[in-house]
Amino acid sequence: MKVRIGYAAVVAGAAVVAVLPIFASDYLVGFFFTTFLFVTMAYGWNLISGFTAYVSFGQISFFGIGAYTLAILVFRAAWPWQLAVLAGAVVAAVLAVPVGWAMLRLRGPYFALGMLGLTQVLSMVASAWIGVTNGGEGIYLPPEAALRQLYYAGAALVVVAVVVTWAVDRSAFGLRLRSIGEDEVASEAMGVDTTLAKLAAFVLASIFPALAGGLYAWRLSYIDPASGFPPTYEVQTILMAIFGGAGTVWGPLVGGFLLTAVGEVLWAKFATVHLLLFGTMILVVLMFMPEGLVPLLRRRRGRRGGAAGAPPIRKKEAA
Amino acid sequence: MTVPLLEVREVSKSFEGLRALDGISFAVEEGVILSIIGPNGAGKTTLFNLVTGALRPSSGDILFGGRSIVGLKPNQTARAGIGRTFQIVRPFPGLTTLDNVTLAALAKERGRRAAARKAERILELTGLTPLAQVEARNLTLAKRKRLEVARAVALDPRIILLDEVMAGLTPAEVNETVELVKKLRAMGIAAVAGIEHVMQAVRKISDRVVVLNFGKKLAEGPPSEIMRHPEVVKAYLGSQYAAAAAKG
Amino acid sequence: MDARIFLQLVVNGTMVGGVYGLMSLGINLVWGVMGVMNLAHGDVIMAGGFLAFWLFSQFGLNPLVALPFGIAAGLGLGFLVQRFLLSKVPPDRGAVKTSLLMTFGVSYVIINGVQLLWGNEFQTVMFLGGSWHVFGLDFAKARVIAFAAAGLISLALWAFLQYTFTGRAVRAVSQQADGAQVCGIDIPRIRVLTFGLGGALAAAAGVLLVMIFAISPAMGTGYTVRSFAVTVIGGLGSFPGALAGAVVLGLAEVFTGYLFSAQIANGIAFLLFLAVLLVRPQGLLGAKRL
Repeated sequence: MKVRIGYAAVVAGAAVVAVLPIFASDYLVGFFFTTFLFVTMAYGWNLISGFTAYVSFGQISFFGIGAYTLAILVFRAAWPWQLAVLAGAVVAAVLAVPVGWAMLRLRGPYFALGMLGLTQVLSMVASAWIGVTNGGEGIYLPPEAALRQLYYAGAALVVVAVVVTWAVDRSAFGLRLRSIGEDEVASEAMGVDTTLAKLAAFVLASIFPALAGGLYAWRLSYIDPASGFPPTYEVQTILMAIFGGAGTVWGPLVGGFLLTAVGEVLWAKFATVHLLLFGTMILVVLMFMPEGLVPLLRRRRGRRGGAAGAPPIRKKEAA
Repeated sequence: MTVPLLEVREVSKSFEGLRALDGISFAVEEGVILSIIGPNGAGKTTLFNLVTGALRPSSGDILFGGRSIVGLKPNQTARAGIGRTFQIVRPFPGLTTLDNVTLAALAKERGRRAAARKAERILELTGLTPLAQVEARNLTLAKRKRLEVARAVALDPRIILLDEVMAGLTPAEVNETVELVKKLRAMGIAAVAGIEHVMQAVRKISDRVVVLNFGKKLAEGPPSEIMRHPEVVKAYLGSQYAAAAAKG
Repeated sequence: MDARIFLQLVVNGTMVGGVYGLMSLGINLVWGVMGVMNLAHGDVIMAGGFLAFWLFSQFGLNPLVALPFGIAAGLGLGFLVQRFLLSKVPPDRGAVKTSLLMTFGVSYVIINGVQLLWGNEFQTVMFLGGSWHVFGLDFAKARVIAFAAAGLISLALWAFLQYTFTGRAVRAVSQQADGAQVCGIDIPRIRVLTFGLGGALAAAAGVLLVMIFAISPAMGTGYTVRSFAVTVIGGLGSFPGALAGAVVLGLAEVFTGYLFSAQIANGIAFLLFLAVLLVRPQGLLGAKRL
């Protein structure tokens, strides 16, 4: 019963999303587009850091890679933007293999730090490799981006992200990842090829921020190191994922939507403190609701419905 | 003469000058339960780590089914048929009992559904079915140890290394575990049980006993013999057992 | 390159290395004693630098006088974070992840705090210009003073850890927390003190750093990476290692800056960090294995 209410909400939400551009203002459409991008990035983070315990502070690296790939292909080779966005995902995935291999060999905290440093380095590469990236000047793109097209592209991304996460969650691969997150040494002892599993998750996770980055660059019609590797996006993405529920299927969606709405309000009223607020929110979430909103709600529902004999909570959403 | 299932040959292990194991040799045939007894620190866990590949022997060889397994990593020995439980039980705390065993079963089954079905059968075998949906962190110690065994069984092992699987259990729980190990033997799974001091269990399950002390093998033989062996009694079992042994 | 330039670069790199060493001591302490990786470390360094800048531009206080203020501020900040945030993390398998995320959140609070208080621009403290000329080489006065101050502070820390009861308690907790507790050492208090010390050292490093370089709020992350790079290169758990690693990084930055570009010099810390962890995880003189 409870599960069906949840699905009804999703269907209703999807319907709203589908028809919104017809009625809504450009501002609202643009707002939703940004939300879709953040949600997608949150799903990307979730795939590596929600399931395994490898906390990445550098998924924005792939955002930038996707953004720059699009900009370079459109600007220098006149590719159509749709293909350029997809190409960004391919480039990110290909690069994620050696990067992931190197980074994942560093256990836990060193991985986190490594990814943090990676974004810095890539930003510097973007500044320095002037021949390709135009350095600090950035690349200007033809302002042909159609907002409503991008909106639907973003929505499609979210759908893909949710479906992929759902599929991973119930698959053998997902179980292996969770076991790595629980206890990597024991997981290895159980016969799991942890190196391969982690790498696969890392590569998969890299695709989402890359796609988001490509769409973002196209929308902006411009890219430079600052906009390609926006450090504030990292904190926002992570906050959304952990607020909604890391390691869950719906967490990033819920967290993404709620927090982007909150972010819009904050940006309007408290522009100068919004980093501080995001940082504080991370602390609040960690102290008071570390599992995230979705598992918290599930648990409350379970308690109320449990006495009546509702089915026990089958999925264990580990943070 | 058939090749023993597991053979440890003159294995030594040193850690930066400390000789943890010194020239240990023994063999386990198919369907045999061997108990390794010795006080804590005698080297039992180190020995298990060497067999599974978590550590490398400083010298000597370890053969499984006649082939050397030195140099293999734990996930490789696990797949080859050597199961293992840990002294400090480490199930995945946030996963359910069923998921814990399913994960282990994935080593041998294709796909999560097939693995889950096998896991359900194993839960049945080990009496854990009522706890299938409980997160492992909410299990009692005895149930967690049982889960450890269930996970090891899911790998279709030919031999299980049971590290202190009886420690901390009530006598009733010890008996249940003894029955379980015997059930496994009936299924064709051999076992090496590392046990510190639960002597009643040693007597009940072991076909053979090896005694370790300070990394050296003191004695080997059937339980009844070992219990009366003067060296063993002197080094380890204590005066009350010495008195009982003297009585014969 | 000729010998003179080479030697000059060695001098510059070593001077900077002194301050980097101070930066990493805080990391070594916190990481070694508490197993916590403080991702906000570089931001505390940056904040310390801005505090010194403010004291200099508002009150004309030179950075050396500002040091005690910086140390106090860092101590207080570290105390608050440990006492009210990190100590509340349940010590289970999720603790590492949670503390990483926490320090990440704190980092943003600090960055924004600095922006609110002192703006978003690059700042430096031009308090001691010019250089001394010895053996035909230039010893920039600011760098020398910073190097000397860093050295003194490091020495003081070492003495504290070696010779005071509290200091030895800190070392005891880092080696064997349970054993230390049995000896009557109040672990939570030691942890608060240690984290506070980490913050104090970071802030002090920042005060010295702003004398040599221009800093901006966005540079905190870079300092975090540098501090960890130094610790990793030298080897976790080893103080002489940290100092050695600091000099290595200082030299590397100065040489790559000269041979290639400033941007590559900025990135060399990360590359060294990665390379050492992949090739020789225990660093040059590391005590603990990863």
